[in-house]
This record gives sequence, C-alpha cells and structure tokens, in this order.
Amino acid sequence: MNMILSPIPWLLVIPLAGAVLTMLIPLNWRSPASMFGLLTQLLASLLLGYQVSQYGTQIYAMADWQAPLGIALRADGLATLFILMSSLVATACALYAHLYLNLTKRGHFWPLLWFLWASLNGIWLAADTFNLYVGLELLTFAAVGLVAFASDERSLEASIRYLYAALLGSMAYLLGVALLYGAQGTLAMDSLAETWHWGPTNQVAITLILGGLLLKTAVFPMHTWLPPAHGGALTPVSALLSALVIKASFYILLRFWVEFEVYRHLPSLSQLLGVLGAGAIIWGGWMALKQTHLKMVVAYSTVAQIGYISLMFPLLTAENSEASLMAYHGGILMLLAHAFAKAGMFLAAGNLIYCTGKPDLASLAGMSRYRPLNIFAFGLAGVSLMGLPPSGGFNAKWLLLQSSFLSGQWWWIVVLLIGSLLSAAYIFRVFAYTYQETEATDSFRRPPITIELIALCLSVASILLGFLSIWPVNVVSLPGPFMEAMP
Amino acid sequence: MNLLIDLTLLTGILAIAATSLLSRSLFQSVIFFILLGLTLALGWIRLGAPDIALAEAAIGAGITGVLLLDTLGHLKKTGKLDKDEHRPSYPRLLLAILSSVTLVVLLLWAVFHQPTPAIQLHLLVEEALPDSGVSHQITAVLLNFRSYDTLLEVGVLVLAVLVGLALQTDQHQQDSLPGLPNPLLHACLTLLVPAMLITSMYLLWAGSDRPGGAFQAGAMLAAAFILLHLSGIKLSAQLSHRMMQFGLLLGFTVFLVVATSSVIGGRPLLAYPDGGAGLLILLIELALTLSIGLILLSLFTIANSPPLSSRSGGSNGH
Repeated sequence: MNMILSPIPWLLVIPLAGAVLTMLIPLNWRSPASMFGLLTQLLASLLLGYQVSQYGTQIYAMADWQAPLGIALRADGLATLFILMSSLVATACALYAHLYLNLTKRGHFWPLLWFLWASLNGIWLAADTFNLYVGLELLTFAAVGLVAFASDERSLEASIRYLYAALLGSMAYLLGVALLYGAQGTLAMDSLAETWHWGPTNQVAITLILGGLLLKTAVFPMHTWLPPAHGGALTPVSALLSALVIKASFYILLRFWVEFEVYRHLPSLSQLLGVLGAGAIIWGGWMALKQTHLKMVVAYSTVAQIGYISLMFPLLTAENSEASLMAYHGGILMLLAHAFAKAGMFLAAGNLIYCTGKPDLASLAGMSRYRPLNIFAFGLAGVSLMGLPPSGGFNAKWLLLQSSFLSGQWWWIVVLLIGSLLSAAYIFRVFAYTYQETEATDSFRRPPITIELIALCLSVASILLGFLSIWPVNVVSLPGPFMEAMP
Repeated sequence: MNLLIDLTLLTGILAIAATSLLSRSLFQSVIFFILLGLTLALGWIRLGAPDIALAEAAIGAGITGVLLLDTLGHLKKTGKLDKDEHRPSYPRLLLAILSSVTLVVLLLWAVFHQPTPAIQLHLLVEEALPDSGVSHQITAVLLNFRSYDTLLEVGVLVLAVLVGLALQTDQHQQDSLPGLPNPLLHACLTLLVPAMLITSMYLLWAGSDRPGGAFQAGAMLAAAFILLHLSGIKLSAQLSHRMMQFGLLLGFTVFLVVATSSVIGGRPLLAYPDGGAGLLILLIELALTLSIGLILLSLFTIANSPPLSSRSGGSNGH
C-alpha cells in the first residue's frame, strides 16, 4: 500500500506537531489551530478503521527498519478500536475545554493535550516493549502536567503524589523490560512471543511489569493516588484522565497477558487479579457512597469500574475458550462504555459545580429543577455505569456474567451483583441531593448550553453502545497476533 | 589487579549509596548522591559502556545534583526545611529496606538464571551499520534504527519544561541567585566556559564514530550555561522569551520536520533518504544539543525565572 496514504504516521505526527505549534503561536490562534488538528485526527482514525477492517492488521516499520532491529507499529483490531475511542473522547473533552477554560488557561491546555494524545496513539499502536515505556513516560508527564494545571495547592499535592506513583510504576516496568531483553535479546513483542520461555528471568520480569502496570492503572489496593488526582483536576482534565489515561496501562497489561500467554502459565495470578478487581469494586463503590464532594464520588466510581474491567483476567482461562472470548468481549465493552460514560459523567458533574460554584453534594439542592438536561446527562451516564439495560455497561456486564457461568466461577457473579447495587446506591444518592429544596433563594450561574450538550453527547454514546455493541466486538475480534494468542 | 579495582569500586558504590540514604543531613545526602553518580560512572566504564558512563556522569551526577542542591537552597531560603522532618520513621524505613532487599534478591535470582538470548541483536546492528550513516553503533541505534524512541524521548524533555513553565507561580519572584561576586570565579570562567563549549562540540562530533552524542554534548552545554547563570550572567535575561522558547523547541522541531518530510517523500516516518543519513543525523544532533542544553538550564532556572507574560492575570478555569 502507498506509504503516504497510511494514516498511521499522521496519527503520531499531527499531535506532536500540534504540541509544538500550540506552544509557539499566539494565544488566540491556538484554539483554531487545534480545532483543525482535532478534525484531522478524527479523519485519520476513521481512515485507519476503514483500512484495518478492509485489509486486516497493518504493520508499519518505523524508519524503514524491520523489527527486531527497528521499531514496528501494529494496528490490529484492538489498537484500532482504542484509536477510535480516544479520538472521539478526546475531541469531546477538547471542545469542552475550549468552552470551559479562559483564554490563558486554554493556551496552556492545548500543548499538554496534544502531547497526551500523541502518547496515547503511540501506546495503542506500539508493538515494542521499550517503545511502550517511552509512550508511558510521555503520557505520565502530560497527565501530571494536566492535573497540576488547576494550580491550587491541593491539585499540586495530588499531582506530585500521582507523579511518584506513576514513576514507580514506570521504573518497575522498565526493569522488567530490561530483564526480558537480557533473556531474549529482543524488545519487539512479536519476536518476544516467538522465543518466549518461562524461565525464572521471565517470571521475575513479568511480575515486575504487571506490578508496575497495576500501580499505574490504579487497581485496588494501589488506587490511593487516583481519587485526589482525578477529583482535584479541572473538569475536562478529570474526564480525560478517567476515560483514557488509566486505560493505557491497562491496555499494555492486557497485551502482555494475552500475547505472552501469561494466563496459560500463571493461572493463580489470574485469580489474584480477579480478587483485586473484586476488592476494587466493593471498596470503590463503598468509598463513592461516603464522599461529600461530587467529583470525588465520580473519581471513586472510576476505582470501582477498573475493578469490573479487571474481572476479565480470571475469566480468560486456557480451559474454556468460549468463556474466555466472552470475557474478552465483555471486558473491552466495559472499558469502552466506561470511557464514554465516565467522560460524560465528569463533564456533567463539572457543569453542576459550575452552576452552584461549590464542589460539595449538599449545595446541589434544586439542581434537578434548574438544569434538568444536565441531570439527564448525568443520569444516562449513571445508567451505563450501573449496568442497567439498554446501555454499553449492561451488555458488558451481561457478557461477564455469562462468562462466569460458563467457566463455573460463580463467585464473580456475586461480586458483579454487589457492585451493581453499590453503584446504583452512589448514583441515586447524588440524585437525591439534586431533588432537595432549600429555603434560601437560588443563586446559580447559568452554564452555556453547548457544554451541557457535550456532556449529553458522551452519555448518549454510552447508551447507544448498548445497541451497537456488535460493532466494537467485531473489530476487536479481527484476526492478528493478539487473537491467535487467545485461548 | 582488575579484580581489586572492581571490588573496591563495588564496596565504594554500596557504601556511598548507604551513606546517602541514611545520612541525617539532607545536604550530606545530596553530596553523597552526586558522589554516587560519579562512582557509578566509573562502574559503567569498567563494564565497557563509556556512553552510559558519560550520560551518568553528566546527567545522573551533574544535572540531577545541581537540581537537588537548587531545591535544597530553595527550601532553606523559604524556611520550609524542617529539621525533624527528614528523620526516617522506623516502620517506613523497615518497609523500604524489606522491599528493596526482596527486589534485590529477586533480581539476582533472575539475572543468574538468565538464558542465552535467542536473538543476537548486536549482530543485526553490526550488519546494518554501513547503511546507518554513522559508524558508532549506539548513535546508529539512537538516531537511525530506533530514532522513533529518541524522538519521543526528546518530546518528554520538552514536556518536562512545559509542565515546569505551567507550574510557575503567578507572582513575580525575585531571582534567588543574585550571582556570586567572586573575582576568582569570574577569572576561572573565562577559561572554563570556552573549554566546556569546545568539549561539548567535540562530544557531539565524536558521536558519529565513538562514544558521545547529542545528550552528553547537551548536558555539557547545560553545565556551561548553569555555571554562567550562577556567576550572574543570565542567559534567560539576555534572550527574549520568544527566542528562549524557540531554542527550547528547536531540536524537537528539526527532528519532527525531518521525520515528516520522509512521509511526504513517500518513505516511512523517520526514514532518511539514501546517502543523506549521516548529514541529517548531524543536523538533528546539532539542534538537539542546543535544545537539550537550554532545556536542562530551564529546568534549573524555572523556579527563579520571571513568569510568562501571557500568564499574568490568568484566573482559574471557566
């Protein structure tokens, strides 16, 4: 295929160029230039989606050196779905940020967003373990910068905490990659998988890598850095972090897990990951129920949702391929639904805080009457997070339930049910506050209708996913090295 | 004899690391940390990795050391350096020691069971070296075979400065380093700075056929800039804000333009045109050296430099 027509390099070059340009040009040109960038990113992602579904997995040799000497990029079904997901969610968050931030803040937001986007695309497309590390570095710094961007004392503290946790995770990952390189002499995922053997070196390496990635994904009990960072950031940043950033380390984890067939050789580790996931579902849900600040409720809900996604691991077993495939589809669908629903919910929560001017739940009184559209957006996102039909979240939970039945691991069903009850409780608790009325006269600020519509669009997308689930499921099942390594 | 050197080095590294960790005085810890970087550099030389030794000495010991000292000075000045605060709390210390010992045991176990690699990557590098445009393997890997990683790494450096600039406090702070009025220092500078600049350029040039390259050269350049800064000659005051910004971004921009031009020319991203690899690599490295020097200087001065003009009056959100 003609090199110039492949969208793969443009998915990296445009965000990187966008980052440089938005640093150099005057403040009031940064938004128009970025709008153009958003458009090209959407087009490039759609083009990639078309090419991958037509011609199958695309391999792109960087600098024309084939792996393992050079670095290869690989766009398979999974990568393509994530590219599309991040393009859609990031575009919505970027438009929201453009309307929500003032000119100065906006000017400084764009370069960080573009770096974030470049690193996300780099991670989705990477097929090289060290390249993934570089992508994670870029992602970490961009995300920490965005958290610190609120520049009040609490967000600074949260961002430093986040930085330390993320760096510790990166170091563990890097150490593991170094061991893999020492043992096998290559960094490319494909050749690592071909020459893989379960010696002590690879076992230690995989333990370090998984540990680092679990910390970066904020899997319970390594989640403590997440709520202050996600809850304390500016609203569009919170949405980006919860919807996309934590998915990056999870994505790498999943690739390692399947492509190197960790599930086949360390089945006890799968159960451990499941237990951590169950812990996250219950602890995250319980903590969300106890928060007094709206954005902290949403942030703890992310902790719980990561737990659902981690339930995929104990269900991906070598014994039952049908149940495994179902768990894989369920997990990916859960992740996708969470990306849209959580972005929508954070933006809706931000709008509510914009109206009341106060971050706590008690001052939401009267909101259902004043901003019904916004409450509706919050509620639709809540439907998907609770897993009520019809929504992406429901289909995902249904697949996970069925997979648990099929593989005979009934205990995860109990966890899923308790989790759903807890999420229903913390979401209805927020609703209860919005229906209250106070004696005092309302002094609400009116948000622009556009930012409410953006939140609504994302929430609607998470519901629509319930009707269109077959499409992402087909995309992630496209043949490629990942699907070959599946049980 | 060699064994004796190695054993001395090894005990030295361990002793210095332990002193740095356990010292009660933060200043002492930092000094021992710098010393650790230098002895580690010697260790890398003994392992036959002069490139890493150069990087460790320049960045691990030099720049990091300066940044730590700078932070310490800042803490002292603002009175935030609490005397009791850095006394280790024992449960935490115990936990830290326990986890590091576990990690070391695990790593030792892993390394001693390391199989012979199935893929001999260095043979592939050897084979492809004539086509890379340079004759030193490490430069070939960094700027040709795996140039994509390097491009993103330079992005990380740019991003670090960007975050630093975004975190600058809005109020205009007085520069905390008024410059040392020491005539001897100034006399030394006239000798030192030209020598450092020449060394930096030599390191850059040497990179094509022996250890050296943009990162080491940039670190040396940064050291010269910082020395000048400390003696009161401030680059950031001499250059306008825009010039400084341009300098910071130059390396990344040149790299990105070269990368993109190959896509427009119908080749994969970052593929150099036939025969042009050597020249383009030198061009990229030259731009990178200047930018890395300025980036490291900026990371050092960020706390003291005047805030961006555009930031004034920026209120929170909305």
